[in-house]
Amino acid sequence: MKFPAFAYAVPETIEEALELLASDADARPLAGGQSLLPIMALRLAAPSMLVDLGRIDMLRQCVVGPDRMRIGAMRTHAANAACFDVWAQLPLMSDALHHVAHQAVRNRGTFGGSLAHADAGAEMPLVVSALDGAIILRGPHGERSVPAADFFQGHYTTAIEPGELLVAVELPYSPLQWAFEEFARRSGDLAVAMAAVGVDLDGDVCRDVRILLGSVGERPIRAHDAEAFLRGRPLTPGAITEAGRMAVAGVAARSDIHADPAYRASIAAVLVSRALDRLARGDF
Amino acid sequence: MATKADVANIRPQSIGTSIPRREDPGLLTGRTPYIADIALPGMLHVAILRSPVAHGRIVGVDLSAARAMPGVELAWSGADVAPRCAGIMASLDQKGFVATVQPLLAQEEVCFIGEAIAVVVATSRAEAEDALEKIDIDVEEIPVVATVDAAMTTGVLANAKVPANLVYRSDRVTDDVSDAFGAAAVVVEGCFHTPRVSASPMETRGFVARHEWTTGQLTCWAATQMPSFIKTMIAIHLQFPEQQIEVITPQVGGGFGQKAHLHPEELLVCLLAIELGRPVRWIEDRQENLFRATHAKQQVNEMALAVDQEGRFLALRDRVTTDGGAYNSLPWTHLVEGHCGILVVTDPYRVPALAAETISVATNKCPIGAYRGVGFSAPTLAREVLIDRAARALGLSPFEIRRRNLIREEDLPYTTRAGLRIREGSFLATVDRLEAMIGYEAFRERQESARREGRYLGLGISIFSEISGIGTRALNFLDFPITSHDTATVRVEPTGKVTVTTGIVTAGQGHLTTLAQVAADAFGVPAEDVTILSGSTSHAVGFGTVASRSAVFGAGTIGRAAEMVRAKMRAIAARLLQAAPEEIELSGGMVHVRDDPGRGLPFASVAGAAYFAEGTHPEDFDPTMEATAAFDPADIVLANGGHAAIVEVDVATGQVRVEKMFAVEDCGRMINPMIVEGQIRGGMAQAVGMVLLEELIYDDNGQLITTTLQDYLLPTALDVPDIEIAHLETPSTLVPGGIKGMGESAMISAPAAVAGAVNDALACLGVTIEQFPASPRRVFAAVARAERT
Ligand SMILES: Cc1cc2nc3c(=O)[nH]c(=O)nc-3n(C[C@H](O)[C@H](O)[C@H](O)COP(=O)(O)OP(=O)(O)OC[C@H]3O[C@@H](n4cnc5c(N)ncnc54)[C@H](O)[C@@H]3O)c2cc1C
Repeated sequence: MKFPAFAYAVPETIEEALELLASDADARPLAGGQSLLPIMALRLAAPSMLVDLGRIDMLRQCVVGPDRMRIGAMRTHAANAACFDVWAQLPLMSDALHHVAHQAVRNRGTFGGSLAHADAGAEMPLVVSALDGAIILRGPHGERSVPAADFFQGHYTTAIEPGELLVAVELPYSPLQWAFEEFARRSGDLAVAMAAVGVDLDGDVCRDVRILLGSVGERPIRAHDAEAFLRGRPLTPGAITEAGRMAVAGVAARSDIHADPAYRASIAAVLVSRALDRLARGDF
Repeated sequence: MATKADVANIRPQSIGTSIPRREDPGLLTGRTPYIADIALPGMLHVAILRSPVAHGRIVGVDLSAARAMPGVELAWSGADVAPRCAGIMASLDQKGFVATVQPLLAQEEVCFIGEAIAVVVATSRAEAEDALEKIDIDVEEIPVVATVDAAMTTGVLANAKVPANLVYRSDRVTDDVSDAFGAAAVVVEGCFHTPRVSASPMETRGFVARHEWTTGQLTCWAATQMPSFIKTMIAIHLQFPEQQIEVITPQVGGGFGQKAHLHPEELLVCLLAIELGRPVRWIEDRQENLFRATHAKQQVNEMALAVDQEGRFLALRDRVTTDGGAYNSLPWTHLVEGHCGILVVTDPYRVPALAAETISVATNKCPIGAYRGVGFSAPTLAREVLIDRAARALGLSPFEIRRRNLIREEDLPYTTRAGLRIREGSFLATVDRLEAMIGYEAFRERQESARREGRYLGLGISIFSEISGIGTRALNFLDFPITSHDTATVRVEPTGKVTVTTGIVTAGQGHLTTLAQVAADAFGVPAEDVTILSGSTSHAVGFGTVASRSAVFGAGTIGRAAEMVRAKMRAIAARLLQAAPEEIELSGGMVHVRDDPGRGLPFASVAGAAYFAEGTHPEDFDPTMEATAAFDPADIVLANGGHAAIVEVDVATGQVRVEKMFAVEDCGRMINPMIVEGQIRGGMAQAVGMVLLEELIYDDNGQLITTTLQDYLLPTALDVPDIEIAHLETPSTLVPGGIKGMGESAMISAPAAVAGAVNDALACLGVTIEQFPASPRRVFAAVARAERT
């Protein structure tokens, strides 16, 4: 479990980093290394060069705007979890960060690294999808903004093109109340299934609702049918159970040693219902 | 006449106190070296190519490209090793036992994923791993035996040398139990699957060897629990002069039995060091550890218990099948699981009739080995879950049914059907204590009201009697024809300090502290005045730190040796104090006339006199102020206790959360209660792991699927609940100070408590869980099945 040999570069600007990536087709950006380095140690990846993004200050910036926040790719999970603005403006993200790994991993692992890695069981891709965030990519030909719905394409697959860097994420402040539910084998493990559910309630009637499932499919899944079912309906226990069921109906769930598709879908249904139940009770 | 079983006189003073562990400053600051910290000039690094297939015939291994890689000093395949060592012969003098020879590098046949095929030595481990990728192996795959069922039914052999895949069958006790089962008011039975697990010590295995050609000395650094054994095995397997071998154990980062074997890699590294004339180091990585370090505990117990109307046990039947893997591990072999299990399956209960048989089969999996609670964990789990089931059927409390069946004071000594003589044990007191700690009535009320809210709480309990401090008598009882004693040397220094050398190795248990407490009390001096030297085979002889034996053997050997030196101290003091030697006592740092501490001399003064003042010596005084003594207890030393767990099962997801755990431990007189409690807590964490999380999974092709700690789930601090511990102390008469062994108990009986709690939580739904770990997926499926019917 030792790394294969690789070259190592530590640029100080984004431009320099892009040049390095352009110079070598097998180069890979290195963020916190919490996913990439274990994969290299297991010799499942052997990049020719690691371009360490750790000294590019620009990538650690966080800009708090009136209606959205722009968070730099190299902000660590720990920094985001301790950030007052994240807590105040993006409570869903704050909640979900408690489920990301353990403190030691959060101290190094980054927001951008997590999104670029796009593990289906990771929390941040679900959060960014739930909040309808935009991922800002920079390549040799300039910057582009990709909506979360287009960015996450599968387990470990994203819209990042070779030679591109994920520089930041823009997250609009949501008018909804959110609840986050996760099922994992142990605390700190990647999710077996998770749900992010947001509602706008008028009394107990659902004026608006947004339901996303994580780790159920290869990428975050929006439960449109369940949302449509709940809109305009009171959040009764019956409706909550039914919405959970509808959220997973027809979903082709993933399979791994912890859960086969049917079991995974059942858990996801339970998580959606629990999130809705908490929201109905005002417990968020 | 003095014998190895003599029980020396030790008066507890420091014994019984929780003094801080003297090893902790070094451990906590990282200054104590582990094997991976050993750095020798010119040292080379080993990487091992492991079989990618579960069963195959090796057609060819081409090392030429690997040998040409940068930094590579040597590359070997099985053909290079065979002339130097035929492999590890693991045999036991038992009728019907099939011995196996495990080559250091596979010869014609590879029998499991992870078996070593080739080795590369290079100037760094990374370069050695680079070279592994260049080795071209041609392995022809042959049919795989992936399960015990396949082993017994398909006719395919997992290992060509094991006919019918049957390594061992035993049935020492085969009472006719049909009448008892016929007459029973209640028969409870089940088929309990315990998982294949890995002891997973935080430090993986490792070995460093240096062969000095000028002197012929072979120095080995080993992460092992059994250095003396390793030394002798190197001598035998490599035909190397034993007096020129030293095995050093730096700090060992946990072993739990996994490091209580002779591993093929250890002999291989010696051969490489001899061949290259340079120090060679092999540090196992975590993935190798999961693939190749011994696995443990995978058994099926088909067990049935016959109970009468009053809840009394009439008979127990057990049929055990062990999935033992492709080879026997030395020295414990396949007997380590099911065979040991059926000999202890009824302890600590009065069970008048027993019919137990066990078979151990070869499969194309990693060989099994010792892991904390050896042999006990699986049958204890099955038995205790069945006892709870019987209690439910009869409307008895789980405490009451146990009270009615446990061995009572008036039954002692009680001989179990398997032939184990139980001479002592505070079994009933354990049950009472556990019941009080839990607050049984209140728990049942809480369980009721939680159920009304759709929450499922469960309580599980387990009572055990443990063969602890395993010596020759215990090993022979378990059918291991092995003699097991230790020695220690005790020296009183001129300034009255005490130096002890022992063969006991420490893997985090705090022996340097506890053995100092023992030696201090043997001389009546403060523990700070004692130094314990351990960690090299040049010190003393020891069987190893296994089977909860170090407290027993430490106290036994140190006690006997100290008694010899004490006689010298008494002789001098008697002369100086004008008293008879028999009247002289050692306590409080003084050597004094009994009951008259005023008439005495400081311990240091008497020691000084022995070294420097011949005038004080009695006539014919022999001033050797040191002694070496052996110890092996006269009979089997038994500790006992019990465990309980409260869990909550989320039936909607199948997730089990452990709310709280309890332990009652009677390990005789405790040397250091804090250390005893640490051992209990660690074992209880492993119990949670085995019953709820850990499982090494092989697929139908014998491929291991759980190859990292992301898939093989060890419990973390967050998965282990608060643990409440109570102590009972029934002193042993077989060991100085009344000490007994401990350390394994929590893996003997806490798994049963957790398993029982899960079953208790689900009993109201008609759900039983017999397959472990009780993963959410399994629990969910069982609940769904029950709902359907
Ligand atoms: C024990 C453990 C437990 C974990 N548990 C969880 C968990 O519960 N939930 C969870 O979400 N995650 C978990 N993780 C993963 C962790 O959150 C990682 O931090 C994260 O997945 C990757 O972030 P990183 O900064 O370490 O990225 P790296 O490992 O450095 O990189 C990951 C990948 O992204 C690419 N990359 C990184 N940054 C950029 C960029 N700016 N632009 C383009 N490509 C980039 C890299 O080239 C690489 O391919 C765990 C990790 C460990 C070791």
